[in-house]
Formats: sequence, C-alpha cells, structure tokens
Amino acid sequence: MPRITGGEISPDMLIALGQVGKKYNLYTKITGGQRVDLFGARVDQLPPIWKELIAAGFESGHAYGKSLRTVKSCVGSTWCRYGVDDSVGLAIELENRYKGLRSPHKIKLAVSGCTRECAEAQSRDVGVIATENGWNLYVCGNGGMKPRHADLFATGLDKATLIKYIDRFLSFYVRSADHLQRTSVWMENMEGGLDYLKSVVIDDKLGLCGQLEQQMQHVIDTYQCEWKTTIEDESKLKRFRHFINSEQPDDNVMFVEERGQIRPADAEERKHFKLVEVA
Amino acid sequence: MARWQVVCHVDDLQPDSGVCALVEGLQVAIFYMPKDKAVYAINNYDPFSHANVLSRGIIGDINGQPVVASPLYKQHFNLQTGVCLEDETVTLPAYPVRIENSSVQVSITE
Repeated sequence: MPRITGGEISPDMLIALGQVGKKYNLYTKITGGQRVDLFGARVDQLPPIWKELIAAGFESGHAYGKSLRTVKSCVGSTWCRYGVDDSVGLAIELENRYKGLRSPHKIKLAVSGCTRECAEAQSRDVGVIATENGWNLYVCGNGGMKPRHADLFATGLDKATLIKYIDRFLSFYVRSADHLQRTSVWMENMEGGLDYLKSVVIDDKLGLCGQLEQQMQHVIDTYQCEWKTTIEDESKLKRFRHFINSEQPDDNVMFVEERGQIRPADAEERKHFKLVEVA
Repeated sequence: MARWQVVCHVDDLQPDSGVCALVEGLQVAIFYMPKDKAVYAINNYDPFSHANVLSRGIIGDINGQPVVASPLYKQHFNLQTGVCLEDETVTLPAYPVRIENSSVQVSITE
C-alpha cells in the first residue's frame, strides 16, 4: 500500500494507482487512513508493481510495520466554510516528517481544521486540532480493540512549537515504551501519567529534550523508501520469488471473483480447484 | 532409502532466514543459520492459516529448540521435528537436509 500523505492525491496519481491495480488485477479498497489498499499480488509481482508505483511518484506506505502509518486530515480552511487553519498542509508536513519512523507499535496521527473534528484527531496517538488561538495538541488516543480518547496535551501552539512537542513526544515513546505497547498504555503505566509526560516534553524535567529532538532529526535525515532501495538491489530482489529453484508461482494461491473484483477463495471454493497434496 | 536431491547453491539460501524450494512437487522451507552451521527443512504449508508461508517466518529459539514463527498467526514450529509448540497434536513433515560442497540437498522419503 503506497503512502498518500494527508490523504491528498492528484487525479494523475489516482489514475496511475488505478492503472497498476488494473494491470495486475488487484483488489482495491479505500482505507480508513485515507489511502488505497491494493491486494492480491503474488510475491514475484511485488517488485514490478513497486517499480511502476515509484515511477509514478509513490513511495512505501509502511502499512504493515510497527511504524508511522497515516496522518488523516479533513479539507481544512482551504475548502471548508468552518475551517480555521490548513489541516491538509499540516498533515502532509507531519507525515513527511515522521514517515519511516519505526516504533513499539503502529502510530497514527490526524489533523482537524476546526473543533468539529472531521479528521477524528482525538482517536489518534497524536491529534492536532486548529483553533482561533493556534493548534491544540492531543496525545495517546487510539481506536482498535480498546478505544481511548486522546488527552489534551497543550493548547494555542504555533507550528514550530507544535512540531517540537511532537518530535519530543514520539522520540520519548519510541525510546521508552515496551514492544507492542501503544501510546495510551505506555502513558497509563507511567508513574504520574499525563502530568509527568507534560513535565518531560514541555518543561524538560529530565533534561532529555535536546537529545529527543536530535534523535528525531536523525530519523528524518536518514529516511529512505525501502521499496526504492529494494528494487535497485539485485541481491534483495532474490527474495521476491516463491521458489528458490523454480519460476513457478505458489499454486495454493487461488482467487474467485466477487462484486467485480478478486478475493481469496474460501475452503469450500477451493475444493473445486485442483488441490495441492501436503506430504 | 534416502535419495539426496540437489536443490540450490548455498549462496541462494538466506542467512538467518528461510527460502522455499520445490522438491518433487513438494514445497520445502529451508532455513539456514550460518553461525551455527545449521540448516533445517520442513514443509512450507502452515496448517493454521492454510497458506504456503513458513519459509517467510522469523526464526529463533525457544528453550534451546530452533523454531520458526508462522508469519500469519505466529505459532512456532520446531525446525528439527516439525512439532508445533502451541499445539503438539500438529506436526509438519521435517526433511533431512545437508550442505555438500556448497550444494544444498534435501531428501524426501516416500
């Protein structure tokens, strides 16, 4: 799944995405993170698919990783009569800043252009809402198995301060949370909770802020699209074939058609195909 | 009697990971740990997810047993015996495998 920063995509990019989906007969669906799933590719098809996507200007969406996923946005002041600030512009800036960041669990952000909150920022690890007085920052929310509304962390921020706080917050989380621990559980298990977190990120109680910002800057400076790196490296491409000693694809991968698109065949449908014996 | 089949060159294996080979119509997942000079082969089919994916699992050890974790639902399989650690009623075929003069060889017994 390629990255579509802030959910903003030009008609040309949409067409390019559609052409790849059509050429490789992929299942396509709009995701909750304002991008497009392309499912049903065989492992050997991934390099040519990504070659085409990258040529069209896309990059890896880090969609399966414990990493930054999406920064959702509403249309903001540019297109909405209620919009107070440019939520799309900020969402794109934040997504480009933190893309590729690896973390204890997936991280999702959102930016709303006003308090009507169409981007649902208060259910994200980091949520930003535009107000007349500046940006309000919310942290440690999530949807999922145990939904949690984010807590208000700071209000009336200018963009530079907002980004500084998010840098420090995410760095601190990445450095100190347990594996597979989301921001909400991380904060709830922290002695002193939200107030303590504020004292570390805003008041620099631990004297760590310089280091946290530096670490985030390093991540930003060393960003790479792993798919671009992979398709340019012959030795890495060796992994993208099903068999090491044959060009055959995996004959256990079977699709049927539903609503005009492919989907994996279920157990009953598989009986009608030639079944693969397992010794 | 065991008949050794040449599958690939040792350089085709992925160090500390797996590859899948087609041997007599069977999908065989081959795992290679160069530091321990160890190579293991089990069937590539994950009975829990009904997919041929085990060669793409992460390898490690649990209580000294070399294992692969299925990339889908994360059950662990002993690489020597094929036994599933979470459900011992499930055992995958494990195959003899060796590296002879850089050639990787698997034996499928009838």
